[in-house]
Amino acid sequence: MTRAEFMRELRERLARLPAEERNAALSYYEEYFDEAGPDREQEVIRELGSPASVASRILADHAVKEARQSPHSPKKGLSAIWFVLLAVCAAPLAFPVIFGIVGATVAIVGAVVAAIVAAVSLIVGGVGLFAGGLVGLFSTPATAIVLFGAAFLLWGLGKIVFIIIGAGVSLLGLVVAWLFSRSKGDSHVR
Amino acid sequence: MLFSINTGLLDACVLAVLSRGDEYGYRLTQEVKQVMAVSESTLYPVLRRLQKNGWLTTYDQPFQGRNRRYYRITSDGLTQHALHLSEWKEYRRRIEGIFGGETNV
Repeated sequence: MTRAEFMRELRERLARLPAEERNAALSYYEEYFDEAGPDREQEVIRELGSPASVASRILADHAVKEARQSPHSPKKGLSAIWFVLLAVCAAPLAFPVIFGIVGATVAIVGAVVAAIVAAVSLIVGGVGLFAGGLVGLFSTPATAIVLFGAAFLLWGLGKIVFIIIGAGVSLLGLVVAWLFSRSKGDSHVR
Repeated sequence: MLFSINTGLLDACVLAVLSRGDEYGYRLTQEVKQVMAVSESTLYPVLRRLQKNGWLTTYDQPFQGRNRRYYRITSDGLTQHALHLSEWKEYRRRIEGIFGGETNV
C-alpha cells in the first residue's frame, strides 16, 4: 500500500464525519507522512496499521464526543449510535460479532419505526374523529362532543408515545457510546 | 510492557510534554513513543480530544513550502497538568506502598 492509497481509503472511511473534523484528521496524517519523509513511508504505514483501524478510532472518539455534548437530544443519540456502528464496521472484527451488532441494530430501528407508526396513526385517528365531530356538531351535538373528547385523548396518547421514543433513543445512544468508550479504554496501546 | 497505558495516562503524558514547550505532531509522537509503547495512530484522537477540552490550541507555521501544525498548552491545560501531577504522586505512593510490603498506606 502506498501513501496515496492509504490516504484515499482513510478519506473514504471518514466520509460520514463533519467536513471540519474530517479535514483536520486528514491533514494531520498528511503532515505526519511529510515529516517522516518518503524514505520512511512504508514504515509509517506499517506502524499506523490499516486505514480501517485508524478511521475506527477517530469515528469512535467522535461518537463519544457527540453523546457527551448533548446528552438529551434524540437526534444526537441516533447520530452517536450511527457513528459507533460505523466504527464497529470499520474495525477488523470477527464477522459473528458484526452480525450480532447489526442484527440488534436492525431490531432496535424496527422497534422505533413501529412505535413512530403507532404514534402517527393515533394522531391521524384523532384528526378523523375531530372531523367527524365537526360534521355532526349541529345535528347530534352530544355525539360530536364525545368524538372531540376521543380525538383529544388520541392526540395526547400519540404525543406521549413520541416523547417515550425520543427519550428511549437518546438513552440508547448514551448507553452505546458509554459501552464503546469503556471497551476501548485500554486499546490505545500497541 | 506488562502494564497497560490507559487514555488518562496518555492525555497526561501529552500535556506534560507540551508543558515544556510547543511541539508539532510528528515530534510529539516521537517523544511520547520514547517512553511508552503507543502506536503512531494513537496520538491524533488524543490531541483532538485535548483540543476540544480547551487544554491546548494549535497554530500553523510554514516549513519548507508546507505547514507544520504546532500544539500549545493553554492555561486550562496547565491547571490540568498540575492536577495530573498531584494525582500521580498519590497513585505512585499507594502502588509503591503495596510493592514495598506496607499494607497500611
